[in-house]
Amino acid sequence: MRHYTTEELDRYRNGDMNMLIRISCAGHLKQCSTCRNLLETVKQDDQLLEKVRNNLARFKAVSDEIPENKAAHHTS
Amino acid sequence: MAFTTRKSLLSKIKQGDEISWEEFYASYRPLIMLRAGDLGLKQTEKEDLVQIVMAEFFKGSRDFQYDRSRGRFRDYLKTIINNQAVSILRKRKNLEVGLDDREFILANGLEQAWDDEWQGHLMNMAMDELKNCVEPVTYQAFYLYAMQGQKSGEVAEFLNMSVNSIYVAKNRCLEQLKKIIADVSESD
Ligand SMILES: [Zn+2]
Repeated sequence: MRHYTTEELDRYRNGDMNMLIRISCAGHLKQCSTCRNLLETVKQDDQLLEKVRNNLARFKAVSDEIPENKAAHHTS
Repeated sequence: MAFTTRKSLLSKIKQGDEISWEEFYASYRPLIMLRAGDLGLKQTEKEDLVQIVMAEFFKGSRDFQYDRSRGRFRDYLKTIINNQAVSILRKRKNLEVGLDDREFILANGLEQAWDDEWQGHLMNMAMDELKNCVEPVTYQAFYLYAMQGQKSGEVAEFLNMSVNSIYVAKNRCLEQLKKIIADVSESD
């Protein structure tokens, strides 16, 4: 019995795989703690990704603010 | 950093390499602006603060080199920003800042806020660094799918890749990002 890869489990939890493979993956997960643990890790990564996303948005918003002296220069 | 040929700005600072004004401005302006917001500065005051902090670092020279005997760069930067921000606040006509700079920061719970902004800054630099560590198409797949939240199928079609490759790219970038974050946090 082969274990599922990170990508396969990531696709599984997103419902991003065909029905037959999905059913077989669900069956495997019931019996395999290794894959269940890997699936948990993949879920935990979402928290980091969300943090990075929010952070990127904050820094991007402030980076996009044009300094007033430059803004005045552009409009003059 | 073992995983990249281009030195990050933070490692340049730590190793005492010369930093150009443009490099410093691009990387640190957002952090200074965010900190200025935490300290209650208005928009024009925030921009003044960026200029003053920059001037403090470059003092007439085009490049700047960090003197490591001054301690941790993050603490040195924080002190300069805090002092200059409090000094801007004091200049406001009706504001009486009776406390000294350090007391003012502590009294307003702004120490923790700096740690949060600094962590954000490191994460931001780590994302920048990630671009240099993976293939452009891998980064693009990661960015569109995991950062912008586009559907895997759409990204796959746009980049002419399989859906599975999008997931591979995402996980490769994520692992690399964790390493970079650990590395910059450790050497911080
Ligand atoms: Zn398994």
